[in-house]
Amino acid sequence: MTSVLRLCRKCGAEIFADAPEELCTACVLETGLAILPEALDGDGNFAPAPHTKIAAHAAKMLGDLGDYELLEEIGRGGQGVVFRARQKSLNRTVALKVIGLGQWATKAHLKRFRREAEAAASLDHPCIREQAI
Amino acid sequence: MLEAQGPTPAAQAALEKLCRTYWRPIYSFVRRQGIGPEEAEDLTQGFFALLLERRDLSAVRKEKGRLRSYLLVSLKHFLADERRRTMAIKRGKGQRLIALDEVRANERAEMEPADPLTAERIYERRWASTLLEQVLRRLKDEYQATGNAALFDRLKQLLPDEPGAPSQADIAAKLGMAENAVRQAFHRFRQRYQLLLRDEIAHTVATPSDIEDELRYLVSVLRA
Repeated sequence: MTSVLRLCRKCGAEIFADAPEELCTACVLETGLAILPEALDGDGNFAPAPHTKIAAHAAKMLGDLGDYELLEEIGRGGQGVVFRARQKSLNRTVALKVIGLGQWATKAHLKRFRREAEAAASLDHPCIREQAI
Repeated sequence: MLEAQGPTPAAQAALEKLCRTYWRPIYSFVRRQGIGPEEAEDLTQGFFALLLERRDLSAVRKEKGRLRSYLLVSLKHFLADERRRTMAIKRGKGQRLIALDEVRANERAEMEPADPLTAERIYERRWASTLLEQVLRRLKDEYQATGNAALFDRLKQLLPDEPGAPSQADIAAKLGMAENAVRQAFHRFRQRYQLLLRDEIAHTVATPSDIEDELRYLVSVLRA
């Protein structure tokens, strides 16, 4: 009979020698449950071609912000949200940071946001894209 | 979804592929009926032969769109028919219907009579592990094809989120990568795993909306 290889250190289940990749089947399947949002389309369904579908959906949902067409959210920080966007006038793809508080941002918030942007713009390195404030 | 339906050559090929993939849960169920290994192999082959002969999985919808449930119900009917047929042939000859051979060396403990798991539970657990095996094989093939077999072997250890597993820093040191690069690589790895998992389940359910339910069900079967 197939021997028990070991017990799972997370859930205590027996891991048999013929378990897929010698991993705990239950724990690995459970990891699959917590689907990353990037893998779903706008209706919450599995999207077989994530990059094209999600980008298209995001563009549809996000709309425009001035000269920028928001394509997708790529990150969030303490102060704001970063989007992948297309600058329409120059037809180039940029990373656009938008202050998270929007219309509720106070003067102090805006000052801090601007200070951060100026600090970032002063950096000069081949790996850093030029900054526009 | 279930492209194995209908009489086209593509559907036939898809059905054959499903049979090759999911023979193990079927075989395990047959064995749990107290049937010896050789006979169980014959019955498994016979069951799939009949399924392929019918060339039709449209009845899957009757089982709430689950190939897993459909195959189990069909198998029970098939075994009942076989039992009746064999009884008719052997009636009066004083022969034992089924020879209870010793359990084969490579079979799991759950096959043993003392095991409290029911045949259906064994079938479902086998189904879940076969599915996962399939998904991880596809993922591994993709990494191997791009020369990243070693990366696969390391990153897979992170999937169950098991305490005591190597950390991302350990993996980075082993592979000579930056820790940040390992973190990004694992993010992609996990994302790809989740996509392949759903793609694989999609072959066994009737509509996309059934995928999440089927996945949750399989997890609950393993946790029961």
